[in-house]
Amino acid sequence: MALPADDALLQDLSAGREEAFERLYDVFAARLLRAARCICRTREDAEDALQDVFVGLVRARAALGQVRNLQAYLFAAVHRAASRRAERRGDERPMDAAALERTAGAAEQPAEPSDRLNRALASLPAEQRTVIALKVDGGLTFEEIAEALNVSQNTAASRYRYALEKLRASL
Amino acid sequence: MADNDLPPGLRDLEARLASRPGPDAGEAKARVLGAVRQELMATAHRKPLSLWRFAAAAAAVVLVWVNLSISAVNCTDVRLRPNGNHWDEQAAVAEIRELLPDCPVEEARRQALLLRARAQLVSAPELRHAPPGAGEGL
Repeated sequence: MALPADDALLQDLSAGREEAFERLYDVFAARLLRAARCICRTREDAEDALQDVFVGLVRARAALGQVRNLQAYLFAAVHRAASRRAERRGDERPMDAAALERTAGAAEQPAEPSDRLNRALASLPAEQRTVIALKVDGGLTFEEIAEALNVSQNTAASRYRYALEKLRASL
Repeated sequence: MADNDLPPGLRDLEARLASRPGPDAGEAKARVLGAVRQELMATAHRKPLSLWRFAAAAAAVVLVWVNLSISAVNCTDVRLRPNGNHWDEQAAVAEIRELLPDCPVEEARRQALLLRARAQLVSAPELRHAPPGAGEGL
């Protein structure tokens, strides 16, 4: 799902126009942050990952003209940034029961039933959470996910299906 | 699996996931855009390397390389120069004539020169399949 205004936005981003980054934030930040939150354990890490993506865009703005699909590019970037943050914290394994309880009690957690959904999501392995973040939050195709994760398209699709089945079983 | 190839139960779950509330991105907006502004200003102040500076750097690299090459050549003994020992032709001729009294002076001088030239040769591996007669006279 590429935005019709992608080209104009990419040109403005390449030119380093600050308002273009603000427009990009308004369009994508909520979904990027939700995807990052799906990969990272804490909201702080997710916000840091989002900031990493935007600062990275400023640094790499000269090459943005070659981007064909801005959305896929952004979600691949947020996956890398969030995974780096998660790796630093050792967040890659699924949460154990005690950690899930703590998460459930945290103030930032929304109320039922999305609370149960978020806890079930947090109990998935990192690779399955990542595929869900890219597919559901990013709206990427399996082909784009496969490219972002450097796996085959079938692997991306089967990880997604296993993740959904596991989620359904735990709800 | 195609992108929309899911049984109804999983499709519903996918819809629930898509509509789950996420963190409020508005709270991080000021911080993220502040970092963007800072990075834009920092990159604007970083001047690109001008042509003359590049040329000066390249010239410095070439000079150092030439200097090192010349030093390396000067320090490498390729055995092309005569060794430090003084070679006394007359003494060599006298020694040859002492061994071979019938040898004329000119021939003794020629043999002395050949012996000296042979002493300067660098040893080289022998060819395995050398044709008969190859290497004779060395």
